[in-house]
Amino acid sequence: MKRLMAFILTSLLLPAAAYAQATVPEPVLPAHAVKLQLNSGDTSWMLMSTALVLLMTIPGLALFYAGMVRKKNILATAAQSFAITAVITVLWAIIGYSLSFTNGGANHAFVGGLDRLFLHGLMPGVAHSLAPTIPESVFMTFQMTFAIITPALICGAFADRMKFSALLAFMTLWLLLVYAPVAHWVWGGGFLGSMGVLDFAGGTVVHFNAGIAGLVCTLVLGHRTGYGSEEMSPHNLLYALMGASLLWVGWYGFNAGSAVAANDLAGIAMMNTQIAAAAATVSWMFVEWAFAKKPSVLGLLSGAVAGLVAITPAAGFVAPDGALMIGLIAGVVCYIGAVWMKKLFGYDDSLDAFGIHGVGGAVGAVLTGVFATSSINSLGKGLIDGNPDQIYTQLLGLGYAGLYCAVVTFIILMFVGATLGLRVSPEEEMEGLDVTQHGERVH
Amino acid sequence: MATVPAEAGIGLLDPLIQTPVAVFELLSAAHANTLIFSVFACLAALELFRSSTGIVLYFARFAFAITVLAIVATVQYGDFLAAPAKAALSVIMAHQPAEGQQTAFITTLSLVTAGAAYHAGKANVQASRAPYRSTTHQARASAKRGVKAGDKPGRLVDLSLADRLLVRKMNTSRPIEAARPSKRMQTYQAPRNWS
Repeated sequence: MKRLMAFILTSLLLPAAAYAQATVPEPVLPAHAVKLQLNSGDTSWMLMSTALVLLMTIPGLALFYAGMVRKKNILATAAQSFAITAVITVLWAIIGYSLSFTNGGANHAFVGGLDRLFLHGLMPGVAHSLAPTIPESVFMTFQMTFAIITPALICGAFADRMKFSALLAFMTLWLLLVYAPVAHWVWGGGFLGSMGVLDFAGGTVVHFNAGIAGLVCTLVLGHRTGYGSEEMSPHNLLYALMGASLLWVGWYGFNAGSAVAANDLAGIAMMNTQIAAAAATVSWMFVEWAFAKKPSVLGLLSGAVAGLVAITPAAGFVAPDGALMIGLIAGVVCYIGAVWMKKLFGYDDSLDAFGIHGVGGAVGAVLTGVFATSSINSLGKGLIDGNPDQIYTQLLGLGYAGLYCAVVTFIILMFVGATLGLRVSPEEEMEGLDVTQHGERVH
Repeated sequence: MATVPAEAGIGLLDPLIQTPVAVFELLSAAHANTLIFSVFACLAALELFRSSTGIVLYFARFAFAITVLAIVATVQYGDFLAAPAKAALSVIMAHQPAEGQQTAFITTLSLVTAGAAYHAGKANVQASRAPYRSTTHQARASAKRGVKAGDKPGRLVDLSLADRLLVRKMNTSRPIEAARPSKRMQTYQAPRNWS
């Protein structure tokens, strides 16, 4: 009787199982993807990190920049960060992610492919090969927040004088032609990553890239009207302080999240982030005190951001003493970059996008080559670990990224300038971008 | 973050040249040319709309509507401008078989010239609107600082803050009160008899 029952049950269930297999075929994964080995701890940390990095742009960077401009440009400056968040999100979903993080076939050394165009095929159960324990949707969104903040950082260089329409056009082209390829070069399987360039969370891809683009923008757009002859001090440093504080908190997600897992490396990255930011704040404060008589609030904020920028490429490669040294050095060098260099060369980098992000990114990248140690991360071996070649590799990475970014950014600016015009008119600049570009005022 | 290895053996300048070429190839493969062109045209129309007055406003609105239609059409028809553009280019090439190489250069030069003409025209329109007319007061204030009366508006950048405020006061064509609250702000305004 039992045998008969087993036979009947098997007869009934076997076709069902076969049918189930027939209706749910194994998905064909593109080259960059793997089957998800879900780890709920990793996933929850990455969800948290994604939110933290988005917090860095809105409201962090929006408040930081808005507090540092003049009263007539507050809304326009904050709106730039907000608008960029929306535009880049759409672009990233359409093609940006695909260009950065998929397999580019014959061109894989330079740019990704179209496997995730319109995020096609991004289904449950699929992970990116760089982060097999979290869903690819989470990885994609996490990387999206990086793509958002990078163009938003550039806005600090041309604050108070760029047309809103030109900004949107410039950022669209810049994401597709500069950010996506450079991110692919370093993280997506491109030639810089293969050469061994170390960039844990975006010192080269995000900060140096944004800083160089900011410098080019500054040179092409020219000075603000009245620069050097008029008072242009920050309108509300409390906004800037709130923004910088949000940036600092959000940077935990930026650096520790770049471990793409809730593991040892994430903890080390978080610890290094805090140490370097504090060290740079202290060193900037004392340098400013010594040269400008008083430690300014703006200096404290700038020092903190400089330290955060400099530790970004190194966060998951260096020991705490290395992080301390990177922070101390970054505070001094970025002070020179943001104060002395700007005066020496006479460019109007309004909110020090180049002075802090460009210089800080470069300092961090080079010092990663010095302080990286295989006792923290087996992928990184720097000068102190007996590998002086790493400094050369880091410099090569900076050279490629900087040169490419500068040339392409210049071409994009020329194109946008010829079609839409880059700058507002002198009258509009005098009246303020809040009124002329958005028809609103904050006060 | 770990990285996926790529193929080795690339030249020193290969990344700088091949990357933009590859990106453009991918954008073409994604049939995105018409979409990108339409989005740019849309932005240009909106910028023209923002900065224009009079009859140009109607033209800008019309241009905006056309570009929006073009963007919507790309959803249905994809890169529909690519074929006519290629056809037009081949017609030009056919007429100039010996100088085919120069066609791209001439086209680029023409586009740049058209852009420059647009800017020059726009600057003239702004000058003719004369938002900051030279008045006796302004001329007097400017004279103190050695600025010639009747200079282009761009010359006003040489004025001090106090002089600028004076100019602002004289500027009746565009007073600062012209900044109206947005529609959204208007909905938040309390009624007049609010207590």
